[in-house]
Formats: sequence, C-alpha cells, structure tokens
Amino acid sequence: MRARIAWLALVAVPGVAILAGLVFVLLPAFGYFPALGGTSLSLQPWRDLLAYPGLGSAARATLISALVAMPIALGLALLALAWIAPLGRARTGLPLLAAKFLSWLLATPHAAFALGLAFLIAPSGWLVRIAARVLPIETPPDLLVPHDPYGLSLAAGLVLKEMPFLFFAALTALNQLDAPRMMAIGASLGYQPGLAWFKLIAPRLYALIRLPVYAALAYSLSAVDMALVLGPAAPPTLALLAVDLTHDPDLARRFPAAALALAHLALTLMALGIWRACELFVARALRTLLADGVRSPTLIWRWSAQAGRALAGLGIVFGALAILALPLWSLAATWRFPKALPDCCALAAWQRALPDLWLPFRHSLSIALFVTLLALIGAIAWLQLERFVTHRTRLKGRTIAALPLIVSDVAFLMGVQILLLGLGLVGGWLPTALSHTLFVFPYVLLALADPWARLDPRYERSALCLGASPLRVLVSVRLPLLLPALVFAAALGCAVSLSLYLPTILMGGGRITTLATEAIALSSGGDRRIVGVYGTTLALVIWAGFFAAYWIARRAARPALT
Amino acid sequence: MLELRDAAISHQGQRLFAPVSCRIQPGRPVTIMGPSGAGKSSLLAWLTGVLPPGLLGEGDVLLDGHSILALPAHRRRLGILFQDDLLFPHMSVGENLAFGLPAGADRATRQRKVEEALARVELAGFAHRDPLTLSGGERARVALLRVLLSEPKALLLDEPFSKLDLTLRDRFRSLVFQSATHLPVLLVSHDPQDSIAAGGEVVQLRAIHQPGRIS
Amino acid sequence: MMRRTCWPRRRFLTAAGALAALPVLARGSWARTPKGDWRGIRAMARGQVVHFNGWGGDQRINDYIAWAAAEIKAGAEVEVRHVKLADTAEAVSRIIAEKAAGRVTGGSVDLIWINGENFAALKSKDLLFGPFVELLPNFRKVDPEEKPTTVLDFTVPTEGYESPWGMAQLVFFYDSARVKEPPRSMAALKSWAEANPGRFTYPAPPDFLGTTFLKQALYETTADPTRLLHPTGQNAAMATAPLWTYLDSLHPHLWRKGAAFPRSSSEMRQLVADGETDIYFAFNPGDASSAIAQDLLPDTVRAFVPSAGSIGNTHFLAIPFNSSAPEGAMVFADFLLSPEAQARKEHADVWGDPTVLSMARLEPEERKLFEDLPRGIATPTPEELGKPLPEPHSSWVPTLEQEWLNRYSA
Repeated sequence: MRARIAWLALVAVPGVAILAGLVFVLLPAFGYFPALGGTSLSLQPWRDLLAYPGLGSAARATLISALVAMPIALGLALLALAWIAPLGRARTGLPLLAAKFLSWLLATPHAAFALGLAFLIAPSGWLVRIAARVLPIETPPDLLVPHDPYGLSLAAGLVLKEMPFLFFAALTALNQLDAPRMMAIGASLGYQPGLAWFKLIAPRLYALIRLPVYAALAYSLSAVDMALVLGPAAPPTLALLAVDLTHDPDLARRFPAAALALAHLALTLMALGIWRACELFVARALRTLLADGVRSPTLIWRWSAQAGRALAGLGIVFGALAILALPLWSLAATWRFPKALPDCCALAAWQRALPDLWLPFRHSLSIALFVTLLALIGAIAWLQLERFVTHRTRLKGRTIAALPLIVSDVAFLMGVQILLLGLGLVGGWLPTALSHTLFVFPYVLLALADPWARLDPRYERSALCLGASPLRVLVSVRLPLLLPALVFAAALGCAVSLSLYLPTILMGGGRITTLATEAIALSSGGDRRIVGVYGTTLALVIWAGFFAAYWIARRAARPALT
Repeated sequence: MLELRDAAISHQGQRLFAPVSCRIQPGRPVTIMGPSGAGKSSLLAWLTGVLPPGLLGEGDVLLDGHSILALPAHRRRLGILFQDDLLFPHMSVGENLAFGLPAGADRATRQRKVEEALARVELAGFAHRDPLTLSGGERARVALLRVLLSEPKALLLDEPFSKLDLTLRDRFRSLVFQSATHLPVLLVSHDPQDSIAAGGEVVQLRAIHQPGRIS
Repeated sequence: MMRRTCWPRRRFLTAAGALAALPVLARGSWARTPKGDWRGIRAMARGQVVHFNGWGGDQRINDYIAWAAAEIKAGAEVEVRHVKLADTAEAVSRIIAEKAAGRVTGGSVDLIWINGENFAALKSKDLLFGPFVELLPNFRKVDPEEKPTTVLDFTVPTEGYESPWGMAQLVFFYDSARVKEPPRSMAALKSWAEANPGRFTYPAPPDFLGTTFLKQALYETTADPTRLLHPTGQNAAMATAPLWTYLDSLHPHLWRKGAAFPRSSSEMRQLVADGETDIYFAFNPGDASSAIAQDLLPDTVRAFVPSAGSIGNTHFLAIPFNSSAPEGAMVFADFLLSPEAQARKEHADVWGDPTVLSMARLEPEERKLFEDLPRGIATPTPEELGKPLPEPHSSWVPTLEQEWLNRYSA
C-alpha cells in the first residue's frame, strides 16, 4: 500500500506540473491574473490575439509543416527499417552503415542540425555552391528558402530529424514482435519479403510506436529552435509567435500571449485529432489490402517504395552534408560564394570563441548532468515501485510521464512562467533544470523500462533468498546487471537536456545561456564560423556522451569471470 | 514429390548430422527423428530458405524434379506448420485465412472460400473472431487451414503437435494427415508417437560427435 | 534568440495603468541612486558579478566585450558576464516583469546596452538606477556641446541615467565589384533596384536598423522633415503617406521580391557576403572595414552616405533599478568610456564604432591613441559623413512599425 502511494506521488509530479502550467495559462488567457492587472474574466486577450495580422498564416504554416513532415518521416522510417533491420538486427554491409549514420543523425542536436541544413539549402548555400562548379551560376538564385511562407523548409528539417527518432523507436519495438518467425511464415505462404514485412510487421509495429509518433508530431508543432532557423519569418510559426510575445516590454501582452499559448494547445490537440482520424482511415483502407492475397508488390507499391528509397537516399545526403556544414564552417578561414569548399583551415574561430564558450558550456553541462541524475533516480524509483500496481495502471502512469512530450510545451511552460512571475520569482538555473527534467524523464524512463522488465527475475529472487534486503538487491544486483542500460539512458538524458531550447528560453530568466540557445542567438547572420564553433561543440558534447555510454556498456558486457 | 539428396547442415565447417536422403510421395509422409539440438529445425529452415547466417546447407532439394535451392523463400511453395500456431494477431481469423488464399477473385468469393474452409474443420462462423480468443486446438486448426489455402506443393511440419495436450494432439494429428493426403509431407519430431501416426518412412538424424565437445 | 514581435500597439499605454494597479508595493520611487564617492564605489564593486545584457548578434562586438570583461576583471576584480540578446526588448521586458513581480533587488539585469524607445520606456516608468553618469571619471572627457546626442537619446534627455558608449550614423555599403555607381538617394535607390532586381533588401522592422531605414526614407520623402522632430499627433498619416507610396513601388524589386526580409542587420550583411545582395547599411561607419578585416566581407566593399545626410544617434549603457551589482556596473561603464577602451572600439579591425569622447578634452597621449588609428578602406571620412540628421521623435517609431507590419507582413 505504501509503495503504491509512493508510486502515485511520483506519477503526480509531472501531472501536477502540467496541470499547474495549464491553469496558469488558462486564467490569463481569459484576462484574469491580478499580478498583471487582470482582475476580471474577459475575452479581450482573444480579441487582441485575433487582431494580430498574420495569425492565420502563422497557424497555417505551423500545421502544414508538421502534417507534411510527419507522414513522410514515418514512411521513411518504416521503409528504412524494412531495409536495414527487417528482423530487428541490422543486416551487415550497407544497411549497417546506414543504421550507424541514422544514429549520428539522431544524436545531432536539433539546433545544430537546423543551422547546418539552413546553410545547405539557402540559395547561396552549399548545394548551389556545389552546383556552381558545373553550372554557370554567378549569382545565387532569388528563391525563398529557407523561411518559405508555407513552412516547407521547416518540414524538410523536421523530416530529417524525426525520421531517425521514429526509426530507433520502431527498431526497439520490433524486438517484441517475433519478426523472424512471422517473416518465415509469410515466406512459406509465398509472400515476397518486403511486402510480407509491410503486411505482417508494420501494422503491429505502428501500434507499438504510437506514443513516439504522437510525441514527434507534437514536437513538430512546437519546435521553436528549428522554426527560427528554417521556418517562415513574417509571420513565424505559432509557437515562435507565442515566445516572441513573452519578450514584449508591454506586460499587458502576456494576456494575448497566454491566449496564443492556449490556441497552440488547441492546435496541437487538433493536429493529434487529425492524425488519429487519418490513422483510422488508413487502417480501414489498408485492412482490405492485408488479406487480399497479393503476394508480390504491385507496380504502384514498387514505385512508391522506389520513390521512398530515392527520398531516403536524398535525405541521407542532405543529412550528412548538414551535419558536416557546421564543423567545416568552424574551421574555415573564409568561405565565399560560389566556392564549394572553404579556404581551409584555421583555428581562429575556435580561439576567438573559446573564452565566450565556457559559460554556456558550463551551464549546458551542469544542467544536463543534474537533470539526468534526477531523472535516473526518479526512473529507478518509478520502475521499482511500479511492480506494485497492475499492468493497466502502469500504462496509465507511463502515459502521464510522457505527457510533457505530447501536450503543447509552449502552453504549459508559459503557464509556469506566468506562475513564477506571480510568485515574484524570476527564472534561473533551478527552474530551467527542473523544467528540463520534465522532458528528460520520459525518455530516461522509457529507455530503462524495457531492459528493466527483461532482466531475469531469478537473479533478484536468489539474492533475496540469500538474505539481502530489497534495497541491497537493487543496488548490488539489479543496477549493476542493468549498467549498460543505465549508462545508455544517462547519455540519452544528457542529449535531450543539451538540445532543449524552449524551456531554457522561458525558464532561464535571461541568465541561463546554453550551447543550444547561444548557437541560435548567434545564428541571425553574425559570423557563421562562430556559429559553427557553438553548433559543433554542442554536437561533440552529445556525441561524447553516447561514446562514453557505448564504451562503458561494452566493458560491462564482458564476463566478470573468465 | 519432394526429394532430399545428401542434405546436411554445417556450422563453421562442422556438420551437425550425417547427410540424409529421402523421397517423399503424396500420401506417404516421412518423419525425421532426432534428439533436440540435432539440427532438425535448421534443416527445415534450410528447406524453406530462411537459414540464419552462419549455418551452411549442402546437398540438394528437389520439388517435382526441380531443384528449389536457387529460389527465394517465397517462391518455393513449401507450406510449414510450427509448434506455435503463429496466427497474425493484427488480423481476424478470416483475414488470417484470406492471407493464405492466392490473390485474385473478388472479395465475396474469397470470403466464401474462407467460410467453407472453416466449416470443414468445425469452425463455421469463426471468421470475425480475434485469434486471441480461440482455444489452442482451434488456433492450430486455423493455422493448418491457412497453410492449406495457400496451395503449397509440399507440407513441412516442425513438431506442430508438441504443444497440444494429449487428446487434442491425436485429433489434430489425424486431421493434418487426412487433409494433406494430396501433398508430400515431411514431419520433424522427437516424439515417436508422431512417426507412428504418420505411418511412413522414418529417417533418424544422427548427431555427429565433435571432438572436444562433451555431449 | 528571439525577435520581438511587433504587436498592435494600441494597448501600450494601458501597460502603465496595469502596472499602477499592481498589488505590489507601489509607493515612492523605485530608482535607487548611487551613494558615496568613486573610490568607495570601486571598493564596493570588487568581487561583484555584472550581468551585462546586450545585443549579441555580432561576434566582433561580442569579442570586444569579452576583451573589456577580461580587462576589468584584471583591473578592478569585477566579473562581467555578457548575456547576449537577440533584441534588447527581451531584457527590457524582463526588467518590467521583475518590477511587476515586486523584485526590487537582485534583478537579473545589472547593466544594459540600450537607446531610443527602450530607454524611453524604462525611464518613463522610473525603472533606472541613477543619475550616475556624472560620477564616472571618464565622463568628463565627453563634450555634450560638441556631440549633443551624448545626452539626448532620440530627443529624450538622458539626465544622467545612461552613459554614452558609442556614436552611430547610418552609412550604406556596396560591393564595388558589382555596383559601379552607388545610389545616393532614396529615389536613386529605387531606380537602381529596378535595374538590378533582387539585389537590395533591408531588415524587417522592428529590427532597429530596419526601422531606421524607414525613418531615413521618411526624411527623404516627406514634405516637411522638421515635422518629424515633434510627436506624431494628428495627421501623422499625411506625413507618412509618401513613404508608403515609395515602399509600395520599391518592394517588388527587392530581394525575394519583398516577400521576405532579413531579420537583423548582420543577416543583411551576410547576404552581401554570400553574394545574394549588393548593398547593405549599418549604424557603424566602420562596419564594413572591420568586417573586411575579419574576412566576413570581400575587400571590394566600399561606403557611401546619402547626399541628403543620414540619421545619427548615440548608444548608451544604463543600470536597471534592481541591478544586483550597480557599483560593478558603474565601474565597467566607466572603463568602457576610457580613452583606451574607446580607441580600441574605434579600431577598424576590432569593431570600428566611433568614440563618444571629445578630442579637445583628451590629454595629448590619449588623443594620440585615436590619431594613430588606421582608417579602414571602407570607412567614410568625417567630411563624407557630414552632419548627422537628428532622430525623429520616438513616437514615430510605433506608428511606422505598426503600419509596416499591417502592410507588408502576413
């Protein structure tokens, strides 16, 4: 009983945080917030909001970029999985190489990736520069990318960043599906392997990765850092607009800002609703195809798979160049249009940036480590207590833990910010770190949950029978056995925290600058070499974390006794 | 007719068992017996073309006189039943069966074929059921139907009876052999009862003793 | 970081009303004033951490601030942290929010780089520390007679609440490799843009430089420029009508056909560096020279000033009322005003920002620091610069920004 209450208390933390955030965005959205001078309910904030020129186009661009990006990202992720690891393990050769590339892409922080992609696709960017080697291009074409008004450049960035995320989510889930035998059955019934995978594995896989898919969709709608770099400029996306408003010197603007944040929440729910409706529609349409007995792909299937493969190939080229662009810039002496490669190489930018780099580096790392530790402790406690509740309750708890990834973060973070303001508090290190924890925790929890459940229970049982206390069993049996999973979860947690942009901006009170916020702040045209230094440093820190995890896990995997 | 010629599986240059040869005629099932770990399942995996990397098959397999080894798994037309029924959990019973039916024909015809098949095994009206709600014996029968509806040219049985309880096992065994009289049937098992029920030739897999390994 | 969105401003004035209604202690003046003499202030400053909030979109300026921070750390044991802003309004909004929240000490901004409407907003709401400028020893080397804008910020008297930091005058730059004869008036600019479509743009207001471009165009198109020195009042629309006619006809010939605009002045310069446009402008006459020195621009870029003259002003440093380190902030502001720091700032290879000091008030060896400065190849001479046009009254800014947004955004 006590364990159940403790577990419920743990579940309540993210639940209450989100609820508080939503309440304190709901009240000012309807004009009530005494600390800001709003003493009665009114619709004025909404009237102010609707008066904003371009609100409609902002909503349109937001919705289009997310709803264009997500199906493509999902389709490419499944297509890549069917090719790379149809049975749950990467096939050797080219597929393994592709899997490694995708893990690099996943580990590259959003901000750094967006900056690299923006340089790649701009009319004076890398692609045109490369083309200029063979084509007679003297001046850059006058094209509106990135920052196109429909948010398609943003969509491209989202596809490339969400595709590896969904790929690895699906790869992890694939292990639960008994894929090798399913595929063997499919083959014995005469089904071509690719088609068998899409008929037998993909539908069940999708059911398992629905939560990551929703999280990716919600992220696409609220990605402020990527929208700044790739999204439309005037008006920007809704999330960006909401954040802009909180920086207005006129405090009365917090009311329409709250209304806008609430509108963003509504938009998120609407997008999820649209997605769900499409899910049902597609499921219905595909259901008849499942059992139609067609054993080898029809022409349309083959063509769309070909098109998908071409798109994926293009994505890999774009992704690789975008990842490369920032380090290359950081080492460039100069790199003028239309040169395809910089005049290499100089460490001048690094030398110039290093003194300034230290503070954001320290902030980034201290927050990431603290938050990860907190999330790990929380996740271990959560999983330890979870065994006292039923399977259904467990799932509900996990959904609550994942809520920060699905509910509009713009909405509830703004609520928390308004709450802090009302309490006379300004942001700073601790509010930033605590808000990071909300986003890091679900990742750490989900990364740990699977290995946690799969550990052979007999280890713990035998330790208990030897007279060890439950705590001792946890500390000296379970955790050491799960060390590889723990370090991987820690690396993941650090990576998430290091890449977070919006919570840092809203909760930092202007005092907390991280590598991610600095890279974006410097990106508005200043000096690409310096932006390159910040973006590269950020990516290097994250990659270093994963390498360390990989190294520790490998050492731990060695048998203790020979 | 299905024919195995000097078929053997090896791992890192070591054969798992001495090469086996047999000819299997329709209506006269052949049983391959052997202790667990002898390589029975690997042999079936090789026949169906899904041998895991690291294992190597040798010898030849002929179906109606043609070697099938060069064909990809899905073109070999060898139906297989496993220990587990492996019904697809995301499809209804009827859809599982329709999945086995060859393509073509309109939806109503396919549906009718499925209903007829179900009726033959005393499962009439089960088309819309979720496989998870079926009993073990019912699921086994659906799995059998699914293979038969796919019109295979031979049937492979990978100990499909071992997980059923005794009474069910006999009934299902006779159902399988009765429904597959028109097909060459190859059964692998470690249960002598199976070979008796099959009634045909029995091939014993002889494990090869490897030096340095205690068996 | 964040741009500031130009929100409909009709509720702006109600903000003051909203603030007055706050339940927090709304009595007396918030502003604290400095105590003691300079020696005492220096002693108190020792060991303080100063969060210097300033626009951070230009790495050369960031580098200069980092240099100054290192100097003051060594010389006066004050630790300066540069909080880089995408828009100064962010920090202004934070100061106002902190006051609303009743946070009268330990604020998050200790020193702020500011001028124009942001200063006017803070000063009118009594949210500044001071007056402190007269206390700074180096302020004696500034001559308000010679450079009136050092004490008049966009027509608003500074009254000792902000310390001048640098002089600014709108200067245009062009790539002489691609432009033979630069357009020296707004009319010429339009004909040039017609002949060279897509090769010019300006930052979207409310970026301060974008707004300045509107003001410059307003000066050159309006019938009576002296009208701009007074508050907008009634029939402001009549004064601005020619500006909108001008912009309506200019925009189709701009970069991206006027459907998109760069977000900042440095983004506009980046476009010239990338070969996407041929002309840009800056508030700092040495901008192109120092950018060339840092390999950010090709060395074919040269300067020109509109023949009708161009808008000039001064940028300042101010201390918020709730600064947690006002003494450290004053010591740093004084250092930035020193001939050594000002001369370095004016150096074309560093920043190229003109000094606020008066040569006549400097010691000979101090003056030599400035006389020895190399003039960059793309920096206009004082004669070319001419006398700056005064900034219009600050009430014109929201009028221009709002109307621009209504016409050209969304």
